[in-house]
Amino acid sequence: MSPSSTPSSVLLLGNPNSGKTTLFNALTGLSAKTGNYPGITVEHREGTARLPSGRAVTVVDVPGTYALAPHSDDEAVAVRALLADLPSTGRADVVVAVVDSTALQRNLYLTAQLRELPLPLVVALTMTDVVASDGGRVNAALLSDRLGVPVVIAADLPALLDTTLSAQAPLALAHNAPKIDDSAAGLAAVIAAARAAGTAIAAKVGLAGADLALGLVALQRTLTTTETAMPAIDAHTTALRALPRADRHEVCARVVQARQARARDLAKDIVTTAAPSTTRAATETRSEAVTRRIDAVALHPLLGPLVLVSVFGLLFQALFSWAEPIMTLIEDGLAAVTDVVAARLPASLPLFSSLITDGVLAGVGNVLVFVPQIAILFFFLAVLEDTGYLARAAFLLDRLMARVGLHGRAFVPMLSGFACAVPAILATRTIERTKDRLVTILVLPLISCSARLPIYSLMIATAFSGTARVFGVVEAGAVVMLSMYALSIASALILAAIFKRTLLRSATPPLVLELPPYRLPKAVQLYKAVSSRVLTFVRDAGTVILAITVVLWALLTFPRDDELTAARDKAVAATEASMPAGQERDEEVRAIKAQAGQALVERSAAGRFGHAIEPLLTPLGFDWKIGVGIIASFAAREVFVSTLGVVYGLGDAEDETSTSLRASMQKDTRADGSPLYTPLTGLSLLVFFLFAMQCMSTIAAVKRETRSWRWPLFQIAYMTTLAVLASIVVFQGGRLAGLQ
Amino acid sequence: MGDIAPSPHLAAQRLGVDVVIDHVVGADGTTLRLYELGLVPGAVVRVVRTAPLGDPLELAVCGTKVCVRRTDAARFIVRPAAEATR
Repeated sequence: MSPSSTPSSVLLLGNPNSGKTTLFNALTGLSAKTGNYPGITVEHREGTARLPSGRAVTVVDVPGTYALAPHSDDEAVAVRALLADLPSTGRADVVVAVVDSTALQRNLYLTAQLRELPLPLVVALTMTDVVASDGGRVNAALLSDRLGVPVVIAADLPALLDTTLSAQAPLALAHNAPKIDDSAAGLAAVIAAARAAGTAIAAKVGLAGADLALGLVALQRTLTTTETAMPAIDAHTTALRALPRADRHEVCARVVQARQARARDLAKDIVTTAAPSTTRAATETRSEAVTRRIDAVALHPLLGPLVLVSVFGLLFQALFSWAEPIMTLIEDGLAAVTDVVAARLPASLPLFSSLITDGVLAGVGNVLVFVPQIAILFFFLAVLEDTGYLARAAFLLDRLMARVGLHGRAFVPMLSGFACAVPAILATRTIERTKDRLVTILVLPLISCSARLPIYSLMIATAFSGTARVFGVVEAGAVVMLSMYALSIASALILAAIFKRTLLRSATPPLVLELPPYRLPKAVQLYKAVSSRVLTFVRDAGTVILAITVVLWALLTFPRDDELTAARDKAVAATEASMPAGQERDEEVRAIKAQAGQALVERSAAGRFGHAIEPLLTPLGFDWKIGVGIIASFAAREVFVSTLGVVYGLGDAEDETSTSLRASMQKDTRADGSPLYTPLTGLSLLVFFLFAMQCMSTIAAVKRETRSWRWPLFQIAYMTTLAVLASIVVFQGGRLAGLQ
Repeated sequence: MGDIAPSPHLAAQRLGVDVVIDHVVGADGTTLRLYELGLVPGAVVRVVRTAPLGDPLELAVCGTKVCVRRTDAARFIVRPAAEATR
């Protein structure tokens, strides 16, 4: 093939933590881009590598896997890539087995399995520098002899690809299937079925049926344990599934055992250590000793949990406080842009100006404001993952999480949920099984995020005056605030347990977790991890958030009342003409605009809707103004506060600390003259916001991660039902108990 | 010798003592995955430590560290390492 034609493709396969991503980054530089497979959100990456001869090749990197019998969506991607069941990549011209020299035998298991298939296979050895610094040596030539395929250290891979891709030394598609004992009648039947299935698949993808079948026996197990079935194989393995489970496991076990024996033989004497010895202490390499010493602290019965709390305390602190100034900066920057744009928009088209500033630009702000938290969370996650600490955290926390029926890895998203559900939902990707991941996503928005704080603060300050104390010492407001957080944690855990036992019924996820050696994270890797998450969020979830912002803008703007706007403009003009310029005049103008704003909102679709549903809101203790606030707060929960500001005729710049807003609310009464914001109404509204899915950004994130509208819609339904029921129980229960 | 295990399964082994996997009782998806990670009959394995809450266990096998829960480890029947042909 000449360099000018379509570039050849190279597929990198290897165990997790095998140095595959480092190799990919070294080959492709910064040309890589992240893609998604349809139906699942696991990412693969593609980049262009320039070989020594000048030839360009496309390099594809898929998530690491221990075997071709994947246990998670992540791992299934490797198999699909191999079977060319991926629309973007096609069949690879060269498959590179990436093998970690420091864990040779374990890594060679996958290589042995790949070797059973007729693939254009080469092996790249990574971590050879670690072996060398430990005083050892890697014999690539011997491994090459045993495997019958080219084996090089990772640095020599580009040159090897050049030779194999040019016609000089094309790779033979020889393969080497293991012999297994198929004497038992049941076993023979299973294998026959697998062979039949394999032949049918082979017809599709062009692999030799009989040999693929052996891989398939193990492969088909995937199809029963993960939801992402490859439709083609799925159809053909029905026969296999009909067999008794024990038989299937027996077949798989024998195949795996034969392959493990092979991996052991392959690995023998390939890596020679400097001072071979029979005692364990002497055979431990220097890098192993480092890991052992760190683990002595990080996994210590007492110190381990302390380290864990410190690490995640830091993460939590970063999400809560460090993101804040950047978010303020983004908001201020966008406000400045909005002012500049507003000044340039034609005054003759007020509606258009409003659409651009209050709709589109506000929507852009609603998207960008999440970027700091997402970037910080994924930076921390990448550091924890790359150093190897994330696996340790899962090890320490597994017992606790398993009680709820969740994986140890669900902890990080749950914790992040206190800051914001959006990055937390993106972080659920580390959870291996689709069902466990879905359960976590479903309950995450129940965790009280930082956007609920302004509402909690406003309602507590308004409905629970600071004088009331519990036991004479603690402010009632503080007790209410604490109860909200306790209730939110309890409800998330209880609902997770319920979903786990009903809708997404599945066993507690198995724990099979490797504790990789500690390694220093690489800056390029961290940068790529963060930038790809941020970019995909802005692109995918951002469009939905922008669209909903514009819809909400329309709901609060239409239908227009031209008479009212005209009257407002006239009054403003009159004031400006009659009063001398200065602070007094500005305040007068602002008051006129705020009053008109109140009237306009009441006449808008949202206002009318608020009025229309008031009878439905009465049992919860709410009036139409709260109804409008709830509708508007769909944009983001904290918008509830500023919307109340508009509805109470104070303009749109009020926040939860505003005394005038609190005063207006405290003065507000029901039709019968009794105060509206009693502690009971306050409590009802608090539990409403605690449970309600009042956040379009979360919906956009869930839609993006689950790849359908089904789950976000279900989430809205169940959370809104919970919110309404909880509010009714609080309000009506309180009334029955004699409260106002 | 002298390292006779109190109970012949992996979850009941003393910390830091090499044992050899003899066979597995009741193989399922999880045990197969552990097979793939090197926990096959004949392999030398050692319980490194237990998590602070008592579960899971950290095992050393094939030069790597793997975590499993007690219930899964209990299905691996082991024998003392001295009997193994290494």
